[in-house]
Amino acid sequence: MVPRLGRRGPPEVSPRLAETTVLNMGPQHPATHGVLRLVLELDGETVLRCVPEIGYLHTGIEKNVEHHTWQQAITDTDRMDYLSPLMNNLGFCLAAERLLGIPVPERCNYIRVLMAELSRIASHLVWIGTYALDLGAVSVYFYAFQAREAIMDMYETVSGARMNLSYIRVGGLQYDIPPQLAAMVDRFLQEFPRWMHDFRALLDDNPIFVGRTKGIGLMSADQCRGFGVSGPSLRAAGVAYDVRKAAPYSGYEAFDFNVPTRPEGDCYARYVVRLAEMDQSARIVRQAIDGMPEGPWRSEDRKITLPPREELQTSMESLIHHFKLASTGFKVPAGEVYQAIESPRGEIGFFVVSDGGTHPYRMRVRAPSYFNTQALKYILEGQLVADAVAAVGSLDMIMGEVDR
Amino acid sequence: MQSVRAAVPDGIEAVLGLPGGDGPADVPTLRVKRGRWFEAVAAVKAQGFDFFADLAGVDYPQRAARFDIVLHLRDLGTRRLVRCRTEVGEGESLASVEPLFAGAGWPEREVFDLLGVPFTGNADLRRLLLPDDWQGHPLRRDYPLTGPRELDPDGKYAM
Repeated sequence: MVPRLGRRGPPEVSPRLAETTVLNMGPQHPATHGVLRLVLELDGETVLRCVPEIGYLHTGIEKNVEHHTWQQAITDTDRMDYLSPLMNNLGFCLAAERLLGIPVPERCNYIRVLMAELSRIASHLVWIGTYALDLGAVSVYFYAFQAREAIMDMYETVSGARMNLSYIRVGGLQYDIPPQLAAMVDRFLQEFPRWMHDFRALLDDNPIFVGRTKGIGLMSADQCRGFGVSGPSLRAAGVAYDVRKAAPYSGYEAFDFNVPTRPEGDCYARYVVRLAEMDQSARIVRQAIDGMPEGPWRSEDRKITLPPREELQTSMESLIHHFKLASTGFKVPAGEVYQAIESPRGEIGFFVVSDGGTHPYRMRVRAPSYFNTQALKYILEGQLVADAVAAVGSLDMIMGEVDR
Repeated sequence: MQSVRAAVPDGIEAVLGLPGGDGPADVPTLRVKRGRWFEAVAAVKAQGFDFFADLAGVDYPQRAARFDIVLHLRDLGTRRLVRCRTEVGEGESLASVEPLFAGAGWPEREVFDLLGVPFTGNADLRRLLLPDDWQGHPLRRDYPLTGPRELDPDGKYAM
């Protein structure tokens, strides 16, 4: 039997069909932030039932990783949360490094933290731009993407790519940061407060924005815990849980930053928390670039890291070594590990299993958007359909990591 | 961990990753008998691990009970992480922990979808990521990377 691709089964509709309307939102819809399909059963304007249907962006990333070497698999991880790809790289590399048992040098940790926090700012800028755009505040979208261009330029300077960098590698990084990066970070940090001031001036007390987000999309702390909702949505419900503080990785213990929380648990609280997080990330970026230590930028373990390019011109052993590492790849001792990091959307967990070979045996990604989207069903039921856009946007979901 | 063992007397096969346990692990781990899965997870939740982190499946086709079901829970207050795992064979099912954690609904559907392990008690056990009429379970190790034969009859995309 040939599988008919793309055909989805209909959801069950209630016997009160004569009184209710089934409204299909998505998968192609400007406000579902990717290919999310929400089947809403409406009684007038009230959502009685909400069935989120996902899988439109499922590309088999977890299966692909099983067929790639450990370094190749990093490029697979980029494609999940494509708005902050460095987070995915970082989580996977930390998991692999734990299985290998190799530490990375301090400079490498500082660079990873620097790039990760720039990633967080870039992701939140996309969020604020698209969220305000969904609610009708079109100008904010342009300002946010203008601010983000500076970070895209920095991405391009360190790795050559604006998106899907794969800059963080097992054992270190792709390259060391170039000397011009420090000036770019300085310029960005000088301009950044002005952008934040502009966003707040446009939205904080804006009657339309406040009216559409205050008291909307409520989730309590207990509901968040039961669903596994993490990140800004959990912190906006009053729970001060941030993986960078709870289980620090990559040298985060050395950085001074706060974890903003709000008690209300509504969309406006999530907005306030994300903007406050951007300020904290800027603090971390300042500390990272100011305190950047000298030294090696990747592990010296030659079994993992490629030999320096200069050596390839003179040393036959290095050439052979490079060839073996780049083609067959290194082996990672058998074992399993769960590595969690704090992505802009919440706790992203990498459960990586190795069978001692050159390919990961299994990589399971605990995607924060996946659990946040699951909770959507409970947020929307009983609410007005007009609030659906505000609630969906406030959870900051990326279908790339929901569907993998 | 002692109170969990007491609550589920014959359900815990091993405790790993803790001093005095049965072996090393990166995270405190409980290996649970398949038949006592729900009670064991409920007992762990009662210890304060009420944040649902993840539920995943791993396929070891050469093993008799080929599927590992691995659950991660967190206690946000003490910031501890715990792992519960059990083994499920081909054709066997596992109790759903959705009544304990609403967040378990989709991961269990995904394990059912991609690995073929049914969960009894899951409110909506149908495929999650793949179309409802898909045949086969792609994340199994014996499922080809390039997909089912019908989509590629000439083998153009085979590796």
